Amino acid sequence: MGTTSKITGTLATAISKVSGTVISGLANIMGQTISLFTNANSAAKSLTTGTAQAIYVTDSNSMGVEWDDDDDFSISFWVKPGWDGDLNTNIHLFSMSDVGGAVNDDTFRIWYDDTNNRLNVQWRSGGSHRYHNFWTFHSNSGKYAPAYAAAGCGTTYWNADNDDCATGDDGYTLITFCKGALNSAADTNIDMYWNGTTLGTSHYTNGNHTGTPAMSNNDKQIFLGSQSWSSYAKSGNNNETKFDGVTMWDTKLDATDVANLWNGGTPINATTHSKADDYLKGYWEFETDGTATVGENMTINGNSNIEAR
Amino acid sequence: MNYYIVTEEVFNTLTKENISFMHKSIDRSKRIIITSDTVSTNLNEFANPTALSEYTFTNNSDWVGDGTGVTEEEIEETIYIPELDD
Repeated sequence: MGTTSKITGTLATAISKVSGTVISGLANIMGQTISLFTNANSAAKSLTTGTAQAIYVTDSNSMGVEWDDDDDFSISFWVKPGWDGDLNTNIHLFSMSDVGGAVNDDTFRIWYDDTNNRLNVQWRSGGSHRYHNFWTFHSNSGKYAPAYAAAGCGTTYWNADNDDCATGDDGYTLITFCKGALNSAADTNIDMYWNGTTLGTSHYTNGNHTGTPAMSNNDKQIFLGSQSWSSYAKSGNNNETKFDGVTMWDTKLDATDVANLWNGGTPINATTHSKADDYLKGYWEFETDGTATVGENMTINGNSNIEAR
Repeated sequence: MNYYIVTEEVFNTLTKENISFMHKSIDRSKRIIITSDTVSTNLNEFANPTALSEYTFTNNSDWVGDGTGVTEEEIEETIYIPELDD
């Protein structure tokens, strides 16, 4: 068969969609994986601390994620844990603060507490002005049961030796946090998802808080796999932790939105998501480097690098 | 509040409802606790969260696996929940 230049009368080079789907969003046709469009790589976070080994956006430059405490927003990322079960401390998965800021300078963060098997979220504008909540995975009782079922880790903890908790996710989990437009960590205002499934009720029904955060809309520094302040630590131990398909949305995504983003475990091109045109403010695919598909580029320094997914 | 390091055996005798923070050592033989009770059979006692945190950074190999320590923020935010202690 010779070279095909036209398909049903249209120049092949002019075709951008198939059955309404943008070509770059297709992962397979008739069950066959298209290698050209497969999400092949991810960003691997070095365990060493400091910006010289970090994965980060230096300055969000008003890209639309300079959220304060009463903004609604969502953050989603694929993560493959590299930490082991002896870490016995926190691992910061996502964190952002004011550019050049310290821990209390308008920080928002998502971290996993390896000691207690809890996935935490917090925003704060001062040591005495912070909101916090968490979900735990290893208790199959009461309000903890949905998270136990969603993660599928059983009574073991989430780590490199137990990364395939949910069936068929090849070690990668899509973590999505969605916040409503209240300055509140109450369960009614926030949702956390494991892949396409809600983690259910958070531990604190009304949120855990000290004082009242009053955050600004300053430009942000955004870090993957470490704290966004101080020594950029709390990154894990032993193997690198990998991140992929990071998205930031200027709205509280609902369960259907998250299920579409999860796509049964096959990462989509997030620009094809139904909410993308209106709300997608940040998107990093990490296929070749930290270049942003949407938003500001990420710097990937030192031993943090791009590796096969 | 009172800030201690106690053995696993001593911990098991304490009133859990009075404990607001607990962190196990890596080998699980000791526990850092914050409690409203007075515990005379402790291994170490600290004046405040700052002193406790500094101790864990100095002796991090006993307490954390990443070469850091237990930060004051972790002490403030990691609430002990007896029914999730396993």
